[in-house]
Amino acid sequence: MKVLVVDDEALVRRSLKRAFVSKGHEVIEAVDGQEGVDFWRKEAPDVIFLDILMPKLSGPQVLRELGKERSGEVILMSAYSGEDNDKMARQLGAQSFVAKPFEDIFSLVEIAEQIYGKTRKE
Amino acid sequence: MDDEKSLLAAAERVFRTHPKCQSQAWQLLTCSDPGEAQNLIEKEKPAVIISDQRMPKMTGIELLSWAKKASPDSTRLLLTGFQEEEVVEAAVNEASTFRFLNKPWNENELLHDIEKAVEHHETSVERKRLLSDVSLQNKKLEELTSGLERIIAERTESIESSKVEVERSLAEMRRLIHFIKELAGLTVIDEMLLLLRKELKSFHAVRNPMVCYQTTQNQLKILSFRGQDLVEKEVKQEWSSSLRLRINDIEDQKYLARQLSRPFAHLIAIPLKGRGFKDNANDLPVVFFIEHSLKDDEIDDFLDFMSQRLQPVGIAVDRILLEYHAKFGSYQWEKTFDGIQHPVAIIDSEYQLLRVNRLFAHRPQRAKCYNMLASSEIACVGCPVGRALETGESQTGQVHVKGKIFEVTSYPIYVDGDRRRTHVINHYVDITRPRELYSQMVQNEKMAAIGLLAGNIAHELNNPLTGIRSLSQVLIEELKNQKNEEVSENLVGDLEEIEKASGRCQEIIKNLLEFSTSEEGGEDYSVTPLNEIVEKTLPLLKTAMRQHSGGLELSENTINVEVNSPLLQQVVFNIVNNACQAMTEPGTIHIKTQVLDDKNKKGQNFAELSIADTGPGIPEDVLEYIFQPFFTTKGEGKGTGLGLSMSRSIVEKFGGDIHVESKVGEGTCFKIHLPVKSMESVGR
Repeated sequence: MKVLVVDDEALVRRSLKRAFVSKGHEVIEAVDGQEGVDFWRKEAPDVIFLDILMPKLSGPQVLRELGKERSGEVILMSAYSGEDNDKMARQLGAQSFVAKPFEDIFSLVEIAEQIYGKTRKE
Repeated sequence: MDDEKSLLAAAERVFRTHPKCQSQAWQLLTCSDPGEAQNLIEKEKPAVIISDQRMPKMTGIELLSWAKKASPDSTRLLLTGFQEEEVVEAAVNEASTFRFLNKPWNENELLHDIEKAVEHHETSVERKRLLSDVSLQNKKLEELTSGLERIIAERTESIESSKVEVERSLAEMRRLIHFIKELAGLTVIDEMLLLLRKELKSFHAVRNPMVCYQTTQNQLKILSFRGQDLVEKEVKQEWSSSLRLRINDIEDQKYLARQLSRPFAHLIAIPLKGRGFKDNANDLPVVFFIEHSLKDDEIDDFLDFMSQRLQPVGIAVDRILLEYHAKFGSYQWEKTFDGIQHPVAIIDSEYQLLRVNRLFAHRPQRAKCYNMLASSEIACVGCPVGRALETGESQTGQVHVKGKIFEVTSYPIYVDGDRRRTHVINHYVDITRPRELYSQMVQNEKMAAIGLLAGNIAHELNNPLTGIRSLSQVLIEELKNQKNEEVSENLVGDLEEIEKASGRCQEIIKNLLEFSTSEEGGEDYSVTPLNEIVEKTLPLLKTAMRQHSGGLELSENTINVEVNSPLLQQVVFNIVNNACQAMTEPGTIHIKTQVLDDKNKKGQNFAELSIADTGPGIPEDVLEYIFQPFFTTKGEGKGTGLGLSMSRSIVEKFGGDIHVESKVGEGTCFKIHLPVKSMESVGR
């Protein structure tokens, strides 16, 4: 499973990378929205962790930029937690939403694996 | 008198030898004929007549008898040669002869007898004069007496009449005094007019009096009688006529006819003069009008009568009007004073109340302002009276009294005309509500700012926190797969602490966000064990409690309360943190949870979470303010004064309350009461 992490916060990228790599997955890091768009197109990841608030391009802008031709399943992340986040995520075409900080990073790995497994079965 | 001329000559000769004859005091007249003698006697009225008895035409007795009638004062002497009894008898009886002279005579005897005769003559003349004097004086006396009687009668008569006059004038005086006395008792002009009418009853040609007086600069009042009733009429105008006595003035008749809508014939206008209010340069005129049918000669009497009464009437009118003005003035001031919608009091330097308005107290009392206002025995904290008296300028301060906050402004005043300011006017404005509103507004503003900040802070903190928490989870996971169990166990333990702590941070940030963004801050109630809240909070207070020791006395049974636990944690945190800050010396914080017997309306028991410190305690006068927003004893910038007020509102939101007990020098104990949702006994 190829995972793209788009987040301007190095610690966030690092923790996700460490967790996914420890479970035997490949992780690509993008430090902002623009790099995210580039890597996404280049690498065609299976699961993308996309931060909402970022320099250059925000999460929703990245999604708009890529359009429907993009690969993989999207999990939106934000440090602003709110009730309508899941709804908003779906409107933007994302699979789900996670609030930062994560309660348990390994449960995120599991969620990602589930989503990936589902798409592969289809 | 002698018919013999020789004898006459001889007698003359003798006679001339007498000294009185020589000095011309005596004169001698002689004649020889009785007829001639009679003429001579009648004409000369001699002092002494000496006549011879024997004469041809007439005897001496006959001549002397005649002379007795013709000249009674003449002393009669008879010259005779022989003394016959009948002759002597006739001479004495008929002629009242003084003496008999013998013929021929002894010269000396003759002169002696003549002397005696002259003497007799003088005596008799003198007696006669005396007699006539006496009778004259008697007559005069009689006249005097009769005059006196007349005078006495006249005087008596005049005394009688003056007695009547005096009585009349006394009666007049008494009447006047009575009138003046009655005047003194009057309080309104109406009564004065009634009295004047009574007084004027004695003049039949005088009808009821009227009075026209000015009450204010542009208002006249006319009082008159309609039948027996007094009628008052107000006229909006100034008195324009001159203030002079006028008799039957046509203008007056017109004026009253216009004002009272009836014709007036004869009028006397009597203005009161020489009056004046001291502070009012313009006298307010008072004019009495008297309608009459007096004849010209009666008018003077009437005016006399009136002029006697005018001065007392003037004084009484002045007094009545002054009283009216004074009463009206003081009434106005009183109403103004009472009308001020804030408490106002005038006090002296000893805080003694002199005057208060209705809002300060319903009735003035002999008390000190703080007795009345604060039911206190000492001046209120923050009272500006002292400063105002010291500086002589108005000062403002705030006093907390019976749960209210007053802004007090003290204005120093001179009451005794002294240079020293010994009194102040205190004006109290209740700013409790405005201050509450202001506090709320400030709090809202602060909260909004915190909310705004919290959003940003949360984002900034959450990102690094994500790394800390997630990475520690990754590490824990990796270490669990390590072979070296001893090393990994310790490391896992450490990492787990990091993970937990970062989780708590996460929770706090979340609460902060919720607390600040949601108006109902923490609607998110859950049933939580009270002890857990204490246990969760204490670790956060480790820094604060560094110097102090802690004592925990938690209930054995689990007491569940329905609260938003992060908020309640904040309350606990606040109170413990305050206690730690209050204890400048190392002390003890004792936290205790228990169930009380008290129940609320829903029948729920109350749980008590008490936090006691061994700090310096809170003075009694401060104690009642500690829950008020922005009340702080910490220095500027060290506290917001919001902690306890927020704590109270949080606890009240959960259906509970906070109490505080404190003793200076011993410590303070906060007691949080919350309704118990459910209990779980923990079996031993």
